[in-house]
Amino acid sequence: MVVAAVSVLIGIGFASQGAWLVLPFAGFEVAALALAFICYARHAADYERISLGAGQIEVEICDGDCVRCHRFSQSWVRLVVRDAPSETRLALQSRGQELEIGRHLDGANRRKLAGELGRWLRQAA
Amino acid sequence: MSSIAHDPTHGHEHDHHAHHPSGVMRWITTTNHKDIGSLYLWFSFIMFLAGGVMALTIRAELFQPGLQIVQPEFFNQLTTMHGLVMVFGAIMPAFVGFANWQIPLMIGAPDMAFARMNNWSFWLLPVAAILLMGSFLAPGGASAAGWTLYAPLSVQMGMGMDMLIFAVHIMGASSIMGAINIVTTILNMRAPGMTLMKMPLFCWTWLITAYLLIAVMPVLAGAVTMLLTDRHFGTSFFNAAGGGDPVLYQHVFWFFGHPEVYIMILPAFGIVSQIIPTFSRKPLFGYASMVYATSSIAILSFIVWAHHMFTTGMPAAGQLFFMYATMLIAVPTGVKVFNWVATMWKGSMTFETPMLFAVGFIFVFTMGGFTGLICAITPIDIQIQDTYYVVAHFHYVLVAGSLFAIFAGTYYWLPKWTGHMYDEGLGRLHFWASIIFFNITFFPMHFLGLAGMPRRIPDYALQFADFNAIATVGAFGFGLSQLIFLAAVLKCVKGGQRRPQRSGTVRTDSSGPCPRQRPTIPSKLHRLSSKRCWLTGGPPWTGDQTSAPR
Repeated sequence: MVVAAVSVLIGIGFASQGAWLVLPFAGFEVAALALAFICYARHAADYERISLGAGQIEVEICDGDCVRCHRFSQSWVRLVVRDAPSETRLALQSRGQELEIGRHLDGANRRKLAGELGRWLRQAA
Repeated sequence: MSSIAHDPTHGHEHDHHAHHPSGVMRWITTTNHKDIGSLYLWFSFIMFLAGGVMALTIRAELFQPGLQIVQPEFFNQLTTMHGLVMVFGAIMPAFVGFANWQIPLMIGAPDMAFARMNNWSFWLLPVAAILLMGSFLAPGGASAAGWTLYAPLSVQMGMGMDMLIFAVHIMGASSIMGAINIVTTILNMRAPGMTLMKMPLFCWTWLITAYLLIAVMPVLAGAVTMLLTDRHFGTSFFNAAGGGDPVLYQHVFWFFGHPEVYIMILPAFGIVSQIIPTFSRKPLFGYASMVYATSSIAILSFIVWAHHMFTTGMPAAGQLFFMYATMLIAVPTGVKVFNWVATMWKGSMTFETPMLFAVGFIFVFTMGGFTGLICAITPIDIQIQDTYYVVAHFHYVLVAGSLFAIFAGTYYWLPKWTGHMYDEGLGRLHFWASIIFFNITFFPMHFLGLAGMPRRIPDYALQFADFNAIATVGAFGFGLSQLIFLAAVLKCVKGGQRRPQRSGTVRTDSSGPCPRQRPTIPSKLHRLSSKRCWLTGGPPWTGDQTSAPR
């Protein structure tokens, strides 16, 4: 708030002296800063919880305000690993539907998750 | 694409290896803070060489009186572009590179808060640089209005000026995105227990610098946009004939320009504050006072801008206010210098290359600070305005200040970044060559300025010939010395002795070398106690399922 106030006050000061074009840029920038903080605050507590129960795999995804729960039958799910040019992506596929998982992980940890999840799925098969 | 459930053999061989995109795509698409830090640093070094070549051309022309090498119009373009390239292309991106590399490591964050925006804020810079350098090829050449782009001269320039304005906008957008990223990262992503007053001082100086950037970048954007509308859209912000005021441009520009000076020096203070304690084997003296001094400098930087404008005509009360306000900055700056010296006092000091550059920084930057005090005194400034004394002053602050700190930081953290030690012999040679040739170049400029030689001129009176010849010899020596730096960095990047773990030091950042993808702190992948449940993402978490988010 202090940063925004200072920036806008500077813009108003110059506008009062005739250099009014500083003010819109100050407005844009304060808006960008606010947007960044809102985005960060909204997603700071995002998570994915992958639980392996009896005969099923449950993925709980918290994305901003929304918490969704996806259940897959253990017999009908498979883990897909895609090696894209820039990163590795993981997804669970079942009956024509696909759910991306491990979005909060870096490449090394995604591999680790894929390894552990893959081992569990193979044991269950 | 592979399916683990259907292919039991897949999925094991890469378990312990991160996937690395290769080739140019790795650098274009990277969101890794270390990659982006390296990109910033290499970009700034390339721009440093480009700006350096312009400087050497300027010095070659000034080797003796008369016009020998370039025409006056091109000389003016070179002085303008040298300043802009060095400020916006070399010094500022270099510090952002350090911030990208070090801040997440120092505060225990896995990456910058907005990794994709981080990528974007870097890749805007080469576009801006191409636009800036390409303006030499525009009809009429590049802008020749000086790096300050004063109206009405800048209103009369050719198409190169429009390219420059656009480039400044792009670089400003890049800086703002970088600043927002740094503020968000430092405020929100510190590891548990890392309170603000426990942060390494480099993080503090960058946090304050980021606030300064956020405060003043709209002012620069507004200033150059008003120039653009005056040039092409019939406005008269700075056109006296249309009711405008050319001096208003100077007020707007310097309201940005003076904090910009601190944007270029505060991260340097941070780097030096990391290095001095390490090589003195003592904690930093007066940590809290360093933080408050940095904040004071940043706040004071907003009320001193008109000391650049004493000769434009202002009331005596205004002159007195800006003179005293400027002199006041010496107090927090003095606190910093005192604390660095007190840190070294009775320390078990050694003088490896980073420490040499840090001590060199304190010695030569303090000289630049004192000449700044002289410039702050209105009656003296009126005499030396636009002379080589001012050129000497700001090069003592920006070259021996900012640039030496960049060298110090590079040598200090290069072993962490690469896993290899740099060549100490090359580093020491680079330091001694740099500091000797730097002083040969810029010290005589004080005498030239006091004798009345104006800046930004390609020809001069015979009485200035000797000192100019000395300065030119020094400039070529200084320029060539930087090839030693390039050799030292390349040698270290290619390999060499493994970096030893320093023991008994008080470094607050984590020990190196640093892998490209390291375990995140706090961990982003939690294995729950049931052994059959994973939790990814979320805030720092203790591992107790009942305290998991939501």
